[in-house]
Amino acid sequence: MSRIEFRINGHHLREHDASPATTVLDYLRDNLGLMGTKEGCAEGDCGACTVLLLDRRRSKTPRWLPVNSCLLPLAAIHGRDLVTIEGLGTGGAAHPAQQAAVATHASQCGYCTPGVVLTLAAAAHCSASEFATGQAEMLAGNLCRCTGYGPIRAALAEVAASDPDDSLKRLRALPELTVAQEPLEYCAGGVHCVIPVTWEQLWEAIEQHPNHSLVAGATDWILTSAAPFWEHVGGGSGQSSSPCMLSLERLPEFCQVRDRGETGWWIGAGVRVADLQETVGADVPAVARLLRYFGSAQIRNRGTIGGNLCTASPVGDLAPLLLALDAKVVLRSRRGDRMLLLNDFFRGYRRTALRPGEVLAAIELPRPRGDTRISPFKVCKRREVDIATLSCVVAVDVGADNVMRRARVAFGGMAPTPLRVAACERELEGKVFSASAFRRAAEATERELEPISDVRGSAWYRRRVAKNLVQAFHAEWETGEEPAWRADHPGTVALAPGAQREEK
Amino acid sequence: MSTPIPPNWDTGADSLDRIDSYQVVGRNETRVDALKLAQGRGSFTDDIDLPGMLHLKMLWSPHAHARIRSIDTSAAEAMPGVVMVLHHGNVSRIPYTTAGQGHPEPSPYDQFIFPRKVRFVGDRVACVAAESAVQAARALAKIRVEYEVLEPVLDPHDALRPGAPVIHDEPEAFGLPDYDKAHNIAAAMHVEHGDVDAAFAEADLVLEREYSVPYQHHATAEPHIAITWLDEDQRLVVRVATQVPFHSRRILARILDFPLHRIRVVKPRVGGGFGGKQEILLEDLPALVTLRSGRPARLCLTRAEELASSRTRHPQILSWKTGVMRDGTLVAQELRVLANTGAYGAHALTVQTCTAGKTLPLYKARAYRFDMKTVYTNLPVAGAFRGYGGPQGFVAMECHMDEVAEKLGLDPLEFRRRNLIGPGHDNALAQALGEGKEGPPQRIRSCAIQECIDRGKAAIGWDRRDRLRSTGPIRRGIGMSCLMHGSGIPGVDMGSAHVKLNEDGSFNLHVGATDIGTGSDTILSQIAAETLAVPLEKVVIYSSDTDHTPFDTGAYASSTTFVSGAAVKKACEGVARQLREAAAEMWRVEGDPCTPEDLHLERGAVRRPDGRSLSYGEICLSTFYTHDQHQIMDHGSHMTFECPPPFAAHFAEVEVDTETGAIRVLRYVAAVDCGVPIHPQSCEGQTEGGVCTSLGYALSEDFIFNDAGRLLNDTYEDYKIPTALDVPEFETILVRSYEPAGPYGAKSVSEIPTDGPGPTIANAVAHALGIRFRSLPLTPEKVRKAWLKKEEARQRETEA
Ligand SMILES: Cc1cc2nc3c(=O)[nH]c(=O)nc-3n(C[C@H](O)[C@H](O)[C@H](O)COP(=O)(O)OP(=O)(O)OC[C@H]3O[C@@H](n4cnc5c(N)ncnc54)[C@H](O)[C@@H]3O)c2cc1C
Ligand code: FES
Ligand code: FES
Repeated sequence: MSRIEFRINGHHLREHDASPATTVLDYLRDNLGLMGTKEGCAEGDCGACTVLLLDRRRSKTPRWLPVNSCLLPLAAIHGRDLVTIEGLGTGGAAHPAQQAAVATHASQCGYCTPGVVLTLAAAAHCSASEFATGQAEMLAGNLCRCTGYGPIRAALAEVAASDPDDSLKRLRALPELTVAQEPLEYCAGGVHCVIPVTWEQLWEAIEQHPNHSLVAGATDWILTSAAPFWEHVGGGSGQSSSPCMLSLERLPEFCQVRDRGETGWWIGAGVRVADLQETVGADVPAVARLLRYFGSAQIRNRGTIGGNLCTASPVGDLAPLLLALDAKVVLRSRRGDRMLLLNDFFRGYRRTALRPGEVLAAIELPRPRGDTRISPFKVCKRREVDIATLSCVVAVDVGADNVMRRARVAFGGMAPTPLRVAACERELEGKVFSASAFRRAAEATERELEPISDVRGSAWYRRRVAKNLVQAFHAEWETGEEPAWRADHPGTVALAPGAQREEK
Repeated sequence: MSTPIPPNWDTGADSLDRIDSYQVVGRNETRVDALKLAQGRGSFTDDIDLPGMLHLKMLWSPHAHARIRSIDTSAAEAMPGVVMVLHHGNVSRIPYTTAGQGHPEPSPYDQFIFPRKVRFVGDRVACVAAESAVQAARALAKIRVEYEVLEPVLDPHDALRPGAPVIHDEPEAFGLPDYDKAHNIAAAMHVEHGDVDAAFAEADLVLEREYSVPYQHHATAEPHIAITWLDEDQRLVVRVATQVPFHSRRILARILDFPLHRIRVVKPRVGGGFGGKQEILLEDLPALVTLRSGRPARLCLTRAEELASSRTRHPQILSWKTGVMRDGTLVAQELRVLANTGAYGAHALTVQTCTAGKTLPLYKARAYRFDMKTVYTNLPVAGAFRGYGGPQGFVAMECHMDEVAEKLGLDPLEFRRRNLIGPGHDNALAQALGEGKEGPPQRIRSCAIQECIDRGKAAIGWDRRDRLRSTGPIRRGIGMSCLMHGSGIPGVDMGSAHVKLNEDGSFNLHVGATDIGTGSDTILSQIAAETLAVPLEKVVIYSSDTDHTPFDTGAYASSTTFVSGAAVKKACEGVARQLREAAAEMWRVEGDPCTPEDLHLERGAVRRPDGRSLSYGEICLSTFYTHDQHQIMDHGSHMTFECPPPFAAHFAEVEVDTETGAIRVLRYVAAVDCGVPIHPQSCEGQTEGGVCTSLGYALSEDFIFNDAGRLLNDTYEDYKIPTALDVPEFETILVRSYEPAGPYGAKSVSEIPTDGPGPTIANAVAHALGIRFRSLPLTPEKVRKAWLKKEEARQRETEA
């Protein structure tokens, strides 16, 4: 028996024929004829395809999270509940989010509207405090070229945290589908899909399907690795050599954050960026400050830490942060676990230390000491939903004598991999926390790094700004002034006020 | 040239009082489509699925400039699911322009369904039709093309270089008399008004500066898409995301060599156009597949294809020269434009004439000169884009005005005030610029630009300008610009409408005008409801289907409200007259005669002075079934030689981080005189949306190419349009005026907002940093570099 089961707008559906690698967007439109969900880019950037996915694990009351259906393989909704624009509102009556959109004149062409309205509907179920602490940013993932956003923001303000008695409330009260707890083996359209719920099942699947591909949140996978799966559609034979998606999402503890007190956190590799925001981010402000600028709400609701590190992108946001915090990675295979410093995990451009048959199981993150000063900086072309041009995280332990005991300076976007800059750290460790120490460190950084020029910025700009950021860190902590990222600068999440550093 | 206001010249000022008596016009009615869109029920082109539909995928040119030596499609045709492969060898070769303009189009006929020579990375090479999109995509890889790679022209200056490669060397291409393909000139124009050299000679100060503006993409939410099929009468139905269904039908009939009466073009809901869909960009290919296979066919561009191979805003290099007296009186203005139209000349002439036409006449001068060349390059194709040359021109002019004011030591705002055009003045260049031919003269009637300035100035706090932070790494500045646009193309744009009465007193309103998100369905319904004295819901509008609605040139040139709205008003006035006549006739039969002239329409009924009434429903039932049987209906067409400009003053306050070069727009105020706003909320929406698009133009949007002319940022990951969190605090001020030539006093509003942000932000940044940027976009890197240069220069000075 091989089928994928899920609930869409409250209807329990069983699918036998569709490829597990099909995107939910295509499935909704082509297989179910639900045309309200739109395709604007098919790459997670526009939000026209936004749907709501029920999350039962992050909090006691299940929550509807906006996600991009263009990045969601069908297999990812096995056992899950989904709501599309057609499922909002009851008996023809408009949902409050829809009423607000009508009243504020939030659509012009209306193509972005279904996605926008679903984001608004999810915001309606945020608590007032959640909304106040950053949910207002939920709209960053819904591009609109017509309205200039004013009316959409007005509609958001109207419905946010209003807790309406709506279809979403009714649908989230339905019991979870039983298949959600069971392993899945599915094959259709020449593509296999295995969702193991034990590690043993994972190792078996890995052995059985040499042509497998690991999938977590799939936000990256679907854009970079899924093509061969679609190529296969209709052509495959269903043999074990045909491609197999191996979903990691249901592995035990894989999606959990364990707070181990003084020692720090044990973070499953399947923990999503949004979860990390709410857990570690609540304790370490620097983490929250960085993650707020990670993709869009839709991306943060799906993208995982493991996925972010395993792509080994030179401009991934988490690597510099975790490098600066001395995180370790737990690599697991049938033969057992091995632990590496994250610094040893990146082996070259988009290459990691993972061996065949090995997965990234968890990250061990030490708790920053009371005297650790941390600031992350992300510089990009657009403030929201943008990949960094470069990013930098500085963390230093400063003793009572104002001497820096330990310094970590990590960069993204400055080399083929994310990296720590030892030359820079050397200039800081053992020195007094002072402008001159950071100036020397900044100069060492500039000497050490040889970034490339690309569409996101020239090598010249990268080096200049990298150097600035090291000094910005000092200014930010020295003056105690609100850093400029608070002042909401576009194109950069970075920078503190201070003197004209590099001219001196 | 500043003509005094002639006697009896209606500037509409007296009519402003009338506005308050309107019942539907001027009110924020719920938009007719608002609920369906919020519920996801709007039916866009792609929201149908037809049995047996074929899917099309394109093979695009990988070269900027190459001759196709040979194409071998046999392997592709043998692939599973493939039904046909189209390429230059198996389609007709009829020169045309993709520009969806009135006939005859002023754009050069320089395209063929498939070219034999590809002219940019993203040009058409071949098209595969297969049972599924995946199969079509797979077959693309099997097409063997042999190219003879040619030297590309990647810079507009190079295009004019003697001996430059000739991009359009095919004999068939032709255009207007100034078309000069042998020298890569797609369009050219030279216009003088007054004695320019004498005026410059007299001026106390002559200033000349060069500005440049980049590519910008429409980035509509919905990409280009068309679905075609044969109906049961074997007629070709084209369902396409278009702004110009009637132009589409006309051009398709010609290039497909298929009778026009056998083509039906349907415009469903459209996900944004902004000019990008004023183009017959792709419907010819599914149409060909359908005609050849008899099967439905679908072609939809991916986002990357959309960015690289559809249309864009013309990049321009503009040189602005002014002659001015010491007291700030302008005497002469000269604008020279070098525009890049890319590989094909869509809108090559008219966008550039608008660059002059929307800008130069805003300030009075004794003499004007405009010189323009639009050149071909091997880069993406430009075309119509909301603003249509205005955003480019205003960057140059309004930055320049600030520079002149600075040189004269005048407040930039007062300097402008002194020279602005006003009511009763003539637009000095209207005739000379025209639309591919001499245009009709234009005299300004309604004009509230001075009030726009007053109110915008107060709203932004202009008087704080001297007290803004000017030390430390974060600097603040305030800038402004004055703007003018047009309302339709005078003497060219025509719209029409048809109205008929139903038994319940409702009306069907059929219009050729295409609502592409502009809200025109609502606005035209409001005009009908006002004229017929019924509430909005009694008007059932249907827009744009070449079989079922009368003609309209389409949604462009800010014409819908002004031109098509007037057509609706005419048609409804005819129906109103018929209603009065029918009522009079009914009363006559009852033995209680009256004259129709004594009757008036109010709240869905024809009323007599004594208060007795006949409802429209009663009248309709009677005229359908009982007495003097006929359908009460009428139609109206409207064309006008008037083109009343809307005016606006934009203001912005910015903050610049000198360390990263990042600019944050804190506040934006747009005060606009669009005549009577038929639907104020829509006018605000158009303004805010247009400003947002041009904020992207000012700050982040640009095309980046490699040395071979390939677009590098062809995804939303790298082509950055503003998000909800990038837009500043925003205020729209609708300054009312009454335009006698417009329906219910209305002018246009949709394009003028796009003209403002470029210069307004650049002026604010200049104020903040004391650095004048003369090219967009103002990326952090550009700002950072300029700041460093300035600091270094200052340092050298102090050392010396
Ligand atoms: C619109 C958009 C915006 C984005 N913005 C950002 C941003 O601001 N910052 C940023 O850093 N990234 C960003 N990303 C990139 C991406 O979303 C993130 O990197 C995300 O964290 C990836 O996680 P995932 O779970 O979706 O990975 P997946 O797509 O599931 O996997 C990515 C790769 O890692 C492998 N993999 C995943 N988990 C494991 C594991 N546990 N063990 C071994 N291999 C594994 C997979 O095989 C796959 O090859 C963005 C992406 C999009 C589409
Ligand atoms: S279609 Fe654009 S985000 Fe999914
Ligand atoms: S209304 Fe058109 S994109 Fe938002």
